[in-house]
Amino acid sequence: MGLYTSYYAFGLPTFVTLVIALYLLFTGSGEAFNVGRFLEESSPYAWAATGIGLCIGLSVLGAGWGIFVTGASILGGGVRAPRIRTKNLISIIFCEVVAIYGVIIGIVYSAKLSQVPDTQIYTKDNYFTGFAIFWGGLTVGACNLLCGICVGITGSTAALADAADPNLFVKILIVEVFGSILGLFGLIVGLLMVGRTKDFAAASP
Amino acid sequence: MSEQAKPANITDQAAKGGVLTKLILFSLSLGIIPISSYFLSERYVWNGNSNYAAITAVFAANVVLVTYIILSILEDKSPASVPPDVPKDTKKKQ
Repeated sequence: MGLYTSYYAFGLPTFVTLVIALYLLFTGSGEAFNVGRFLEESSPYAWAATGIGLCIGLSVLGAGWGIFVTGASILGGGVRAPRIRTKNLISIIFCEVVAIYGVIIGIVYSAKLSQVPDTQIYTKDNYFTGFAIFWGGLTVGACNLLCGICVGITGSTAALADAADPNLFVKILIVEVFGSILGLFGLIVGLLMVGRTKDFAAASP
Repeated sequence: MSEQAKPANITDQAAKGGVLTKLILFSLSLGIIPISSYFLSERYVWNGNSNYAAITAVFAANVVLVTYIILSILEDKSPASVPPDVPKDTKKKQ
């Protein structure tokens, strides 16, 4: 059963793609697959808006994942050792800071979206802005996703270790601080990527 | 009440006092302070430069975070003198 599932998962899309590609090739319209034309004709608004959505979406995904892993451990460990309940909320706050980073970058990027008629949006600067916001948003989102997971799993183990031995908590907090810095790195690179972009502006005739 | 929760409830009495209030206050400030510092610093301090305003907001978020950590560690050190006597007595009686 597992073998057939992987056939359907990997074999079917590959086969369909291959049939479509060979059909285009053999009926003389092989040039329909044109990456350059796709990049030139897709709107910079689409790229920028997707980037902002990925930024905040992946950041919140990472923060939420971290919070539910840590929260489950705190609640479970708090049955026998209620003293861990208040101190381990530090791990939850670390995860939430990751989501705040995503919100800040989302606000910075969305300030660059201004209203331009679609006949005048295809300029060099607008292309640059659109691509930079897309990849910057993806960078920040992926970094915050992994940072949130890291802090969450570390915080969950910190709660259980604290329940067993209170001296361990401060040492594990150092690991969480290092994990939280990863989100900061993503934010710095995201700000650098859009450092020189201008807002969307109409083409000057 | 289950057997597992009994010794926990005895030590629980000391640790009440406004924990939920503090957490709600910090969560709200963690949301409000960075965003407001971004917009206020962008307009009044950095003359429209959004990168510096973002760095200010990140700094504000980290200040709130460190404040919470310091308050939690201080609060954790001060009590914890009363509860450990009671479970030891119940253990000795058995």
